[in-house]
Amino acid sequence: MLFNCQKYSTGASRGEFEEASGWTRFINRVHLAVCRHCALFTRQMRMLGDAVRRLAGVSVDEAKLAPFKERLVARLTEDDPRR
Amino acid sequence: MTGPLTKSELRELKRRNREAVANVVEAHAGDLLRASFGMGLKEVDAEELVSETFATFLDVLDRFEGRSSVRTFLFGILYRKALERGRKRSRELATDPIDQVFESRFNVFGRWSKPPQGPEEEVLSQETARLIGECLDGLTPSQRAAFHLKEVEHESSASICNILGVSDTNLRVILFRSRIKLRECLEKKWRERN
Repeated sequence: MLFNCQKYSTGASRGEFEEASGWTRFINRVHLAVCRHCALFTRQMRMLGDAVRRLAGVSVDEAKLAPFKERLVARLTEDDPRR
Repeated sequence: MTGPLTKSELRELKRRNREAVANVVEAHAGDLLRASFGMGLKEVDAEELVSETFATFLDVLDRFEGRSSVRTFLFGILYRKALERGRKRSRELATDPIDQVFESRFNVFGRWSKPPQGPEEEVLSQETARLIGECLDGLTPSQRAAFHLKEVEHESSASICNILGVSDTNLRVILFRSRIKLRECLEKKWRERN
């Protein structure tokens, strides 16, 4: 695994290192210190998350959210003969 | 109202008590709306989907039984409806062309033969966010859903498996394909710009 870039980048993309052991994390750190391509790949993986969070952060218009919630509650609680 | 419901809350929701309904809407509508936009829906369709999700939630409260959190249950309803809408299968296919694209970047020793290209700096700009918005359209619905739940909603893998109805192994494949597709797409767009 130490210099196997394909295994490293596959594992990183599959999220296999999220709960990795201390030894695995150490091996990965050594790998990233010596392999600039995997280091760039790792940074780009982080960028994907940052960019999509940024996109999601501006997706909901707070000014429209409150009236939407009010309409929703009204619709869900309108007179129901079953109640 | 983010964890399991109390018996009293459950009872009030079944009665469609306004305050109880307002509490659950207040707690979760924003996240569900954001998830709907994350699936590529426009505002009108996203609001309709969220509305249907809450309506279904209230209709199936007996099935809820407090086994999972309200949030997980609502997300599960939302994504099932979203995938039904597109009439797309939620199950990931055995093969995806992106698997071959990724493999072709390595030699037989597992070293990069076609290393990743792209900006060296973490340029977090509106441009990158815009580009990723375009690239998200290239994901399958389940890839898009899994990526959003993981990266935006920070749901655990176990929770995502529950929401999407997939195994842990399947989820890892889905996340792998979503990340590789997005990276490949972004690299292509960066290259075209420079």
